[in-house]
Amino acid sequence: MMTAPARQDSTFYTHQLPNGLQLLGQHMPGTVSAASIFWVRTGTRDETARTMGVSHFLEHMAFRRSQTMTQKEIDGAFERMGAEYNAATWLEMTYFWARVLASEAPRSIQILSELTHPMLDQDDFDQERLVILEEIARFKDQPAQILFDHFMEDFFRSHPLSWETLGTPETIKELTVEEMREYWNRRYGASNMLFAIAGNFDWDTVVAQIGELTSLWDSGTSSREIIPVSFESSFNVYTDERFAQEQFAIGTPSLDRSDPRYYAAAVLATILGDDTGSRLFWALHETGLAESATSNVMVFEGAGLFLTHLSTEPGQAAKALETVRSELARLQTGDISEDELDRAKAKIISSVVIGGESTNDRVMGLIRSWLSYHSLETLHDLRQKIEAVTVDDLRELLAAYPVGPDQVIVASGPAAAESLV
Amino acid sequence: MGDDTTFLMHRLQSGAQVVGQPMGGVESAALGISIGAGARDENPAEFGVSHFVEQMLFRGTETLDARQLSDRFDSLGINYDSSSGIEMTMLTAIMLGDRAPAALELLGNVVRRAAFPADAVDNVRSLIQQERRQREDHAAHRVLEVVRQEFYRDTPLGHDMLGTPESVDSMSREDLVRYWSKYYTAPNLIFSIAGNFDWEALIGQLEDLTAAWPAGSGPAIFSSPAMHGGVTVLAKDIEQENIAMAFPGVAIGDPRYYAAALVAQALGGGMNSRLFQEVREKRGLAYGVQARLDGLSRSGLFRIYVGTAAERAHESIEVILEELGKLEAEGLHPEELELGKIRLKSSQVMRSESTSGRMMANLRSWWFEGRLKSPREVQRLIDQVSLDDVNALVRDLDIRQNLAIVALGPRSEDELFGGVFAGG
Repeated sequence: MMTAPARQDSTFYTHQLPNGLQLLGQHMPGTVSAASIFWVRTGTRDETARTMGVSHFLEHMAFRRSQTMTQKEIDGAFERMGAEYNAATWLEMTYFWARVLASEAPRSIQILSELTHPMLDQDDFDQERLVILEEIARFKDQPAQILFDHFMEDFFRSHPLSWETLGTPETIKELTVEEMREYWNRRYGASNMLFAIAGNFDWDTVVAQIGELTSLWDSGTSSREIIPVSFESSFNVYTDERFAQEQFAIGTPSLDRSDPRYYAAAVLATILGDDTGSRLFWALHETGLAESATSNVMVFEGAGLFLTHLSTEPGQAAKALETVRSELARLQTGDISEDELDRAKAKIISSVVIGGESTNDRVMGLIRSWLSYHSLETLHDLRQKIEAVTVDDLRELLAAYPVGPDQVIVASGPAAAESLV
Repeated sequence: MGDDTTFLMHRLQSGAQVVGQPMGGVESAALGISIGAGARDENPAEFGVSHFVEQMLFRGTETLDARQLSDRFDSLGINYDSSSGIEMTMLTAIMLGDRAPAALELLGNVVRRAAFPADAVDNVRSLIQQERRQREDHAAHRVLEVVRQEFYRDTPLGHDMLGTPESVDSMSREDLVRYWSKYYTAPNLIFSIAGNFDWEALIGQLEDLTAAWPAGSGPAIFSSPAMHGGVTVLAKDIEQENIAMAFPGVAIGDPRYYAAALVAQALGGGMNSRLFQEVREKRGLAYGVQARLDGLSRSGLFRIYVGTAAERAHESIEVILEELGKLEAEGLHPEELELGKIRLKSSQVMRSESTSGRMMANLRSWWFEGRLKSPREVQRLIDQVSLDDVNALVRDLDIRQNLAIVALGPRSEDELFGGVFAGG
């Protein structure tokens, strides 16, 4: 048993096809599954104000009808493989993912490739529009989503990163299938996509199969307009009496996707706002002030966010917000102990190693690594980069991207503005 | 898969039980401890006490205060969590295998040497009341919870894990300690570990750790409770109507369990399921629609959820009821059964790729059935289910006679259900 090859003894692969499609792989000994993904570098920020929501709507349409398969055939094929599968769209990505037992990997890759080339039929489009409108309605009933939408609007204002991934009922009702086809033509070229696979597979077979599946795909273009983000602090209260808890989002600019200081930012977020054992945990959760108070770094192309989320009861909301802001101010002084740093690093490394045993975690890791640095980081690389973070790195980062006092703050929930500001 | 499964089992001197499954090729170990204490064990005056106790456990032990405890977990890179449910409370941890002994030591002390510091009680109380508000704000969670409470009304399985605002308000430190002393006893505990660990050393450590733990009694035995149909409408001014339905399922360990799981798959388990096809794909009535089976030790229930356009909620209800009628009248088609089998088997194999997946599967199977099942055995049990088994089960359940429905959203009972049950 102990002689079995370890998942950590992985082999990494990269290969670019003549049509520009970039392939990434991590073979993980000792796994039974393979997780594969087609990742398209397109999302909400690549839309226009008029077509807001088209990326996400298109992702739905992929499952309605491909060039050769109907919805029932697509889902039936995945289900007969016993696949876990899904797709997602966000500000700068659309992906199609499946995890299957290794023997089914070739079939799952074939269907995923079909999904990237949907039929975009008018009747399907009209039918799926109803589902999208329901998804929007559902979204509008969820406090955390409402909060996040308000926050992104306040933070990014006229910048495309402020747009709503689902679109609005108005844009979705106005959108035409021709506009969607035009968007697909523009954004779904092979050179604007990545394919990645992690787990149990044979790389040469995968490269040959995808080469064949995509031989007729156009290269297309892979450009994206990067508009600079200008930051302006604000504090807006969006009172919504339908809800019982008061929620806040507090954000400041942070580093962009390609910045190598990402790991320092992740350590900083862990020290301040990990869900257990962090500064916010002791100041807010342990004292009963807030049910949840967490921080995260979010990176985009040409922009980034250091975001804190807070959920509390309206009666304590002003005090909870004040407590978070004073913790942010204390962090900004750079007074961080070696003990805190070491604990945060130990937590992140442990989750990297444990996540490293999962084919799903790793396939996403390959994509993230390639999008950020155009290279694949091994678990060893990740460990080293996290180990290397020092308190001075954190201070430099805080100097470059202060977490206060200028912030964008959004409140959403039953509390009236006068009780918070 | 399957043949290489090694199960290890041991009953400690204290009466606590241990199950283990070594796995090659991994660095991590996942550890879980279940305590037979959940909402069903509670008296009305102490509703919510299981969850309250669980939340107090990490507030410090006899030797480490909350911060020291948390710092120890963090500096060892031990990722820990806890939860409480209807039947049991659970503590879990995942870490690199060489830290498993340290994790066991820490969690063991959290379970048995919790200090229940008086000044933490009010803070935890506030967090639990906030948790309720949070759930209130999440319509899907709320209807699924309320439909279970309605379905098991006036029985222990209908208790709310979060208690009532009043019971939580009046809970004292003494109430918590009394409940903890009664239920956190050695025979009421199961330890489960999977991944990279040393079994002999672990058992030795556990014998020492639990030697002085009180014997007490094992888990209480409950009979299968009565179930209630009926309609409940909760008004709320939101966009969608959220509808949950519940009808009788079967207990985990029931010979018909996998047949029932296959019914849930066919009804609302995936994008080719009947509800997904009829409600979403054909009619565009909803974004989210699903059915699932929740098994407990002596009972089980099916639950359906749909979040639908308010003005088409009536239609959604009709479509779902029609599908339930079809299910009762016609049972499943052979191809639905086969597809369901593939999906269940595959998800079971894929789940068992991770240390936490196997730890949890073993813990549950030991708790619910008193035995462990290898992936191969589960595959065989799924394969054995025949169309006759499934169809006999569907008839026995008498779905529409035992249906509980809860709706949460802008529509009135009449708008939602007017004429729906007319044909009866």
